[in-house]
Amino acid sequence: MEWDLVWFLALAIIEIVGSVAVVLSRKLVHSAFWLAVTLITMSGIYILLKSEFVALIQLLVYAGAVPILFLFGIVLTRRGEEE
Amino acid sequence: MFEYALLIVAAPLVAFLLIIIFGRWTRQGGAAIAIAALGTSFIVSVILFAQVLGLGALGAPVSEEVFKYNWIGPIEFGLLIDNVSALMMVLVSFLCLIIGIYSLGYMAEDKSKTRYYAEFVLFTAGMLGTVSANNFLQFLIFWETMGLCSYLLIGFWYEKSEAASAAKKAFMVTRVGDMLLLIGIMAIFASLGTFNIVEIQARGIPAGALMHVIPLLLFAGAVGKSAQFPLHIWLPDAMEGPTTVSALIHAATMVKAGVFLVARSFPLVAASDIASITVICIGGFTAIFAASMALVAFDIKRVLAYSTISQIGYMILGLGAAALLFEAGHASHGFTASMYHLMNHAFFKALLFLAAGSVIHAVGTNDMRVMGGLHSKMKITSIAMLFGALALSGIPPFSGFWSKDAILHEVFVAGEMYGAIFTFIWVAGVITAFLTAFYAFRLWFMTFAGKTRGDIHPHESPRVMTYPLIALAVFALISGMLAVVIGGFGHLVTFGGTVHEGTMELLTEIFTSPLTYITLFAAVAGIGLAYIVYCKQRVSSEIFVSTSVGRGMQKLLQNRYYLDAAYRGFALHVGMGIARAADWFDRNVIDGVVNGSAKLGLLVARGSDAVDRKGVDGAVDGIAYVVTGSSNRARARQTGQIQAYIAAMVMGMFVVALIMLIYLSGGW
Amino acid sequence: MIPLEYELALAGILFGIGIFGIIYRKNAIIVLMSVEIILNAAIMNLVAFSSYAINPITGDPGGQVFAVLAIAIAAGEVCIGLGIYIVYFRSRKDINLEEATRLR
Repeated sequence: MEWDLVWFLALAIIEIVGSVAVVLSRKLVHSAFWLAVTLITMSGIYILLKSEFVALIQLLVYAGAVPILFLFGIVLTRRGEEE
Repeated sequence: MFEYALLIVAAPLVAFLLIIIFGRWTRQGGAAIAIAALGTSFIVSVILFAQVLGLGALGAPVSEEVFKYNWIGPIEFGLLIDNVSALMMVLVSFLCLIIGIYSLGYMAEDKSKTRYYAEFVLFTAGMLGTVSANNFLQFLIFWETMGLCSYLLIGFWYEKSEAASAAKKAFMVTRVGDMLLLIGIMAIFASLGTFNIVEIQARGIPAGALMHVIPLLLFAGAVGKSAQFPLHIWLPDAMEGPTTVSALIHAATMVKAGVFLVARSFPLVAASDIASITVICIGGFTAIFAASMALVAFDIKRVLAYSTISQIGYMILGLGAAALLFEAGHASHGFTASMYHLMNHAFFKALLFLAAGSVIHAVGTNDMRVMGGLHSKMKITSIAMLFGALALSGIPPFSGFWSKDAILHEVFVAGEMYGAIFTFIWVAGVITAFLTAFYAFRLWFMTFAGKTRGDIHPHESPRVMTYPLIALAVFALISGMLAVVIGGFGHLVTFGGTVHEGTMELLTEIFTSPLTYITLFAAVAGIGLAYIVYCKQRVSSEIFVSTSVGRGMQKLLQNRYYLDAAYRGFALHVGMGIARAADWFDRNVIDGVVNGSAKLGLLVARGSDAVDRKGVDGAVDGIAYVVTGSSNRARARQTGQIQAYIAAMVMGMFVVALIMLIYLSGGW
Repeated sequence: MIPLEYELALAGILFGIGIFGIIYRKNAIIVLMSVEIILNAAIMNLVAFSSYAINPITGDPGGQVFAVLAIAIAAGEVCIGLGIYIVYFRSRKDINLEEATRLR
């Protein structure tokens, strides 16, 4: 029981730090990386919530595909150096 | 107490991942991983089987669900360990192990071994998962895994266009059955609210139309997977894959999964007389139908493919007869006999395919017309194949005899109780036994006896291929007798009540019954005819086609009763016809309506135009003046900055949230 | 068991961070990422409520079903958003939102 809470807090801290980093990173690629971290952590939280299937889908669709799509977007809209 | 059974399914799955990731860096492309995993599965399943038998005190059925794990709502994961699944797991893992070892030799020169072994172990995992599933949804998941792997493996040499299209055909045809199976499973869930097999077996389908429809839908799935009439057309084409794959599909996995499905849904089938009779008719008809097509095939693997369809027909027939008799209150001898035949067939069909693979490996062609006289060059293969052919023909003491006899006996009993139609099916079964013996020995004599007809230079296969053959040949000889020695296969697998018989009673029962001698005579006659025509060549095989009836038959059989053409024609003409009709409807009816309404619209528009110019314009001009004035002021806020809009939106959202909070917490 | 409030608080914080990102950053791609964070916070609410529903063992699968649906839609949305950005980039050689005022 207690361990659940410890896990949750650890994941929540990573989650918050990650999403703040997404918003504040100077480089776009770093943002995409932190987004992936956030999404993977989120799937850990789903497992704590006993929703393994959603966690799996989150990993496959979100953590797997979305950052890659963002990387494509970044590469295709690059102009000299990033913001 | 059977928790370790999970390892049986998990080992090949883990091996699949390992081979995918690390396979390309190992020598032999991950074969070692595959064989280690299959060996683990085999050893664990032998332990499991021993424990199940020990628990069941020879005969009392064990049924235990282990590793139950709730997934979403009513859906759970788990393994169902009972006599049938324990037996199937031993069979599947043993044969897959043997075929895996054989592949070391057969696939030694192939470029993409990693892909082969990865698909191979996933296929095995699919079959092991199918036989151990404790609910129909999990069953379907593994069943479809197997379907996918069969597609990949049949099309393994995808550079060949025949292989690619054969794979597609196998996938599409089994899909028809799988779709009906899915509907059936959903119908079960709708009427019982559970997928759990034990629960479904215990409760049965409530009386009504569904009681007949559900077993028929499940059986349709089995028909697709087990290549029964009318969905048998994929199996002969599936021979385009490597021979080891054919052995895998035919001997232990895939086609046996259909029989297993009927066995799992046995009480449902038994509860409906319509379903039982359908099962019997399909099984009996497929047996003779496929055997007849095997008579004219010249491709060594196609003969075996038709023979598989025909033998699976026997198993389905036995299950159907058992279902009918079980409902009438008899013991389920036929269920036992079918499982018995499934086991024996698994051994001798794997043997036949691997021996055929050895021949193909040596000769480099599938065509029996250029073979002949290989006996002196490939002694081990030849003897092994002879054992397989004897077992297939049902000559005692080889394994096929005992189980085929048991099935036919059961059908005859059904015939005595339910009248002429089953006696007719029994006669068809006996004729099939004759045809089976004939084509089995036609194959053997054409391949190994006489003189070499083509320009070929055969050599015996390496040991890694012959040792599995020897092991399987031993099993083809003794697997039938083993069951007799322990006093009947009913000690191992039954459904419902236990079937206890002593060895002596069993032997007396078999060898005093005239039925045994009738089938035996049919088999020996078939072998004799094959010997005269294809070995001694006293009578030329041309005699069969000397009359016009014979020629017609030959043409009909070689064209597979024109069923393939009929399906093609159906798709081409009916499908295209519907498409054309839809096209015509679209062009003439729908377009007409659209055009008509457009004209109407135009008319109305003209009318309103007149009113508009006169009356409305004045009012609009007035309003426009007001709007222009106010919008000029509003424009200052419209910066076009999206983020400014969003900020405003968020602020609005907060206001709404605030209002809701206050409202919900009890008003102002 | 983690208290439901904690889950909701986390979702709220993420939502806030997302909103902040949308308003604060000028780069369109970062804005889209912030949208993703907001969506994730919303999906997390769905899953959290479903797992704390009345049935103590399994919760209520309905919430999970909608979560899966929302994930699929979010993935599609990213595709469309990025597609629009790329088209926009082709015509303007830039994806700074401050200058994207042509719709005015």
